[in-house]
Amino acid sequence: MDNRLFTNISAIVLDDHKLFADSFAKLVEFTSLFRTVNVFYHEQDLMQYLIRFRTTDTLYLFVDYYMGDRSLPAFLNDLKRLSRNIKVIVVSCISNSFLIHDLMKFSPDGVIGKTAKADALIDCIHEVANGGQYLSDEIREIMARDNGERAVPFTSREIELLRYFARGLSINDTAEELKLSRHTIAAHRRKMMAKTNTSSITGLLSAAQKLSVI
Amino acid sequence: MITFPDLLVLAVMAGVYLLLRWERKRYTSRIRVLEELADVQIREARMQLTREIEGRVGQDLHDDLSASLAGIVHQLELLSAQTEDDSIKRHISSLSMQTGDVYRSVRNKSHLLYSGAAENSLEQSIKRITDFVLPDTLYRKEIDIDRETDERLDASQRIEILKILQEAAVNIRKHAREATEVFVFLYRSRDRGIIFQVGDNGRAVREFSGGIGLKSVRRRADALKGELSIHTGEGTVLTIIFPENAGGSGVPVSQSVKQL
Repeated sequence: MDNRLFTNISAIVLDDHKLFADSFAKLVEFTSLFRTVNVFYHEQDLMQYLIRFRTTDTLYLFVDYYMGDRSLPAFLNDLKRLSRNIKVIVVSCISNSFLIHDLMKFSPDGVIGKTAKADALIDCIHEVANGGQYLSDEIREIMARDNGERAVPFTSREIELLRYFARGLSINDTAEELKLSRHTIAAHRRKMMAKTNTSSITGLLSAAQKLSVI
Repeated sequence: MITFPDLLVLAVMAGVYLLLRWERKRYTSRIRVLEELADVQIREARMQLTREIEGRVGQDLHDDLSASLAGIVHQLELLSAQTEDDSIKRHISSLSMQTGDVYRSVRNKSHLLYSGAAENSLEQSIKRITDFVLPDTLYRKEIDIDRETDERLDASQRIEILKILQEAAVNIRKHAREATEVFVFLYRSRDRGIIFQVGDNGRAVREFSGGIGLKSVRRRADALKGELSIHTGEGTVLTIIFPENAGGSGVPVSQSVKQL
């Protein structure tokens, strides 16, 4: 790789856990890819710093998702306003699937685990430098496992009902089969249409087909 | 000598006495049911709170300890890079691996804590309250609670939902004529937010439109920043649609605590 790529680039580590922030900063320094590595424990201090040294140089920000009471999305826009060429790499041991989902909405340049080794860190920096998005293996794994589950928004009861509808059974027929009232079956169906953003039974069934639940 | 009028007076007095006793018995049993219902409600609310607190403890433990351990792993790695001595390198690498094990174990344990026990789920609380007010012998129940939606709520939102459920269930028991079936749904629509519904197949009644029950439901819907609607047709459906979280930071409320 061409290390000169980074000669003008500074790295910033932002984490309210001091021991971690300091150790991680040392690891970033160890890659010797950056001109400087600065550590901040509070996002306000980082903001102050960015206001004082307004720079158009690229900055690599290694940041924890939660900073005390504030989460990254709450101050990400402020950061991007202060420093247009900021690359955001989230350093976290996130494992909760819907949090990963929320995190992805902010399309971070990279997501790396807190226990990442130097080689993973270097891979991450390279990927981001080449304009890509780096996701740690762990995150990828959770996302892949999760996509299977998350893609299917239906409960097992709903899938059972979908199968009746797919066989061409009407609300009345289904109600009779299941010994439930039309009222309840219709409510189930409206619920499934709301979940899939569809407005007709055909729309619902084709959505269910795409998810291959029927 | 007992005359006929005397007998009549006695009979009336006995009748009044029995009537009063019967009334009193009825009220006592009604009060007992209400007290039991309040107990069930309190127990479920407490369970949801415990779940939240355990979640926080688990998260804090996880965040603080795991970050410290991760920091130690990094320092060991750097240390290893600074020495040429193979035996020291090996020693450091073994230390690093042990620390990694501790890290994983902390992570798994705290995960167990904050994912919570299954009986603490909102679905279980909803089932217990519904079963209490609307026994299986009288009603068929369809309870369909989306697990992910449950996970996105915080304790106060869950408690509001349980209280709404209780009002709605009591209302069905008292007023819905010929109701044989009840459904309780909780789910999420991408466009509209979180939707909580309680419905029955009984003949629609007017009582809900004005009573204390409705006022209480309306107040709770406001607390959820939600919209309440009641639809009557072949049966009645009470729907509350409320936004995902009050904070609006794009993060679920329960994550006002550090979680990553």
